[in-house]
Amino acid sequence: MSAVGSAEARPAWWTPRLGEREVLLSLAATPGPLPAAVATRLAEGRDPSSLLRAHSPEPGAVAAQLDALGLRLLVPGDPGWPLSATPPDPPCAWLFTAGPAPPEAAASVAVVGGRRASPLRRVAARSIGAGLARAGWCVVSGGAVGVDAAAHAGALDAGGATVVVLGCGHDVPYPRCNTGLFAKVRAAGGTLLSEHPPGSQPRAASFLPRNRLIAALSAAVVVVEAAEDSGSLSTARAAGSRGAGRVLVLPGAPWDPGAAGCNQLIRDGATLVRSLTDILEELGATVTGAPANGARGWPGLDGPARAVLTALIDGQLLAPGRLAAVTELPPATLDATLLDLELAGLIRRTTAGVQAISLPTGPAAGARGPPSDASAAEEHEARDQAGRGRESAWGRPGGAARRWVGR
Amino acid sequence: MAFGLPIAIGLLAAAGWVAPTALEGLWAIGELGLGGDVRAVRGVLPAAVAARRSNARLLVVPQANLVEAALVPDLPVAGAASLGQVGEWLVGRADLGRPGPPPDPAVPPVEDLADVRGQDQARRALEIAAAGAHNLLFTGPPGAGKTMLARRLPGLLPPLERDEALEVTQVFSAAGLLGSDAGLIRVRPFRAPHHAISVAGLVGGGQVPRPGEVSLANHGVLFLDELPEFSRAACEALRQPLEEGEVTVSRAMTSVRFPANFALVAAANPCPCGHLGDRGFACRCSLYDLHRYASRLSGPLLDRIDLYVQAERLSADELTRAPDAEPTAAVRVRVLAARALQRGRQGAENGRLTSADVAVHCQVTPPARRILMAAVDRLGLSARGFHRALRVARTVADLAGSERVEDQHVKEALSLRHLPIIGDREAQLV
Repeated sequence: MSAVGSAEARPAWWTPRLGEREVLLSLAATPGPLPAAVATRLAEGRDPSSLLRAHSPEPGAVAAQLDALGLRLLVPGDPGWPLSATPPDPPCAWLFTAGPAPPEAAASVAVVGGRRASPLRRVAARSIGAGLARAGWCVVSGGAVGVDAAAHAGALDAGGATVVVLGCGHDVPYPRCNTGLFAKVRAAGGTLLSEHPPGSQPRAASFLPRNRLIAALSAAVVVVEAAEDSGSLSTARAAGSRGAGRVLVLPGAPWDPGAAGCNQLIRDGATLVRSLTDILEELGATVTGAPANGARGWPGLDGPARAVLTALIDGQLLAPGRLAAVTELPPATLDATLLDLELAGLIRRTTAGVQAISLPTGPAAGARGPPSDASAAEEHEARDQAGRGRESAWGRPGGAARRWVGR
Repeated sequence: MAFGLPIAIGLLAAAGWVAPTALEGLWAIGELGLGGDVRAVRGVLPAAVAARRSNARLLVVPQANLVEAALVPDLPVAGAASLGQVGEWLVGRADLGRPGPPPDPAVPPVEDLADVRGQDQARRALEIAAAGAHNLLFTGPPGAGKTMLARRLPGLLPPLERDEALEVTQVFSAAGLLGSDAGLIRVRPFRAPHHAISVAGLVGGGQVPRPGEVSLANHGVLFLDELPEFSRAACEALRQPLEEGEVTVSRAMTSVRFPANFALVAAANPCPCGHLGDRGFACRCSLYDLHRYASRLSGPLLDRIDLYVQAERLSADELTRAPDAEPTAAVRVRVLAARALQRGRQGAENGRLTSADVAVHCQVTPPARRILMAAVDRLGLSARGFHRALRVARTVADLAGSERVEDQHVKEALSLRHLPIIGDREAQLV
């Protein structure tokens, strides 16, 4: 496109006297082109005003709209611009922001995974979100259901702040069932970010570029679940290609489709983590508890309960008859065991099969926070040593299981 | 026009061709062709039952319906081939067709449970459904054998008694589905309407109301495969028959009640593509698909279903294993014994007990009660679900010949309770 051509496409309100920020405001609010594509042009040295289109809105109108929605436009160089130390590729030219400016990448950890991750992996995401928040890290993730929502919910459980990176406009309720979660994130002092102007509908093409921002906003990406060719994989790759970002991955069985991408990442050189302790250790914490190992122990479970949980460990759905075949338990024992495990909150039955939703308790670990927040980390460490916040490798805080299982 | 023949007979008397006294106590039904031939009509059997109730001297029916009319005991019947024959008979110059000995069509063999490999829970659920008159929902991937299992329920139910058989045959007659030489229907009907069926087709309708599938399934089994595909209106229309055992078809001039006392077996895939939780197949549904499916599947109809069962696709290994399952006859012995217990105790099957009856007849032991209360607390069992579990546990105890409902009976009942549909309230899980 020639400079003359784009000058002709300028909107009617344009005058050469406009400041650069006003031009950027209008450019950011111009519906249509992918923000990442515009940012790339800007990074190539193009004049922002040459990228305006005939339908670009007037800066004053945009400012009024952002005010009405309680949004700010952050651009590189602004105080609070979070990406100066970790520029993403392709670059990012602006962020529509609701809430306080997000912390620097060095103080944040991304937790990513799919929308249809198994309940066990969602529980793991929630537990990781909580553990990271307790250790003083800011949790960054997308706004989708599944692992994203679980990670945010976990951080909120622990009273932490989170950053939600949306793939659509702030005023577009997507996904609808997460609007309550987003309100809680804001109420807890968290931040919602989007490259897309208000009114932008979610498009498939918006989500892949969104993932590069999640990677750029974090010191490390924890991949809780990643199927083959999944968005989580792209986030991890974005973090990996940046060099500085670490990729921490929960492994899975070779036959678990929700772990195919995870295992591939590990094979490509990402760090395998087995527990929250491993994650915190990778982030620089000193471990104060016994090494956590989710698969060992399962205290308080009897043989049949162990057999059932072992059969369900990949998080998949198994019909009761299939469970009977795998565990070789007689029908009456299997029924009783399933009911016990259900009452203990470890499995759930659905019309599509039985599924593990949590694992029984195991040993605990201490945690150290991000470099900027050492005092808070020590406080958490002390709390852990006092016996609070004990939790299994991935499970929820324990107790209930023992009361119901294996008596 | 089933009244063609009686009108013509009336005209013969009015014109003085036959003495009016010859018509006293005479009933007739049949359609007249333009050539004077008497044609078969539907609904001869109900007419015959009515004639018997009114102490008719003789019922004249189309020759093609004679076997059907003769099913009613203690009713003299005669068959007419043409109006001419009837006229000759009225003046004593000829006779009408008389029924031969009642046909005794071989009772077709029931589809046997022994043919089903594996599926232990589903077989057991069929036994419980048969013993307590509980309605049942099968979920499972396509090819898991949901239809095959459902077809085995009629054979588990007690044999049709003569009154019941007559009622079943009447409905088939009214629907025009009875063959000309078919005798009494001796096996419990199994009706499996397609999910595209209209409301009228399901519960009955038409200008001259005809019974629908719910009435054709009377005293038998109504199987609704692909339940979420049935229209909302069709599912709504099932409520009256499920609650009252009969259905009222209202028309501008009249309203007709048909019996509709059936066991409901419904089947559904676990998700739109059918492969959620299926082994060896990946589910291709989006979250949105699952949400929509879950909302289609849930509805008031499910309140009338006591048992949820998962059917599952078998492996090649299981399919080729020699059949070792219990045959229908053996299971039916237990079903009959359990039904006898229920009749003695409360005069009805457990599945038909109201909440008030449940409190009286489904007393549970303290350990069993503790399990139920835990289920209420921790599994979100609703008040309805609680009563359903009690009814089912009562049937499980009856099958075991146990007077008291013990904890293991409650456990088995809970293993067959209503289960969440994946996609339903999925977001709340985190």
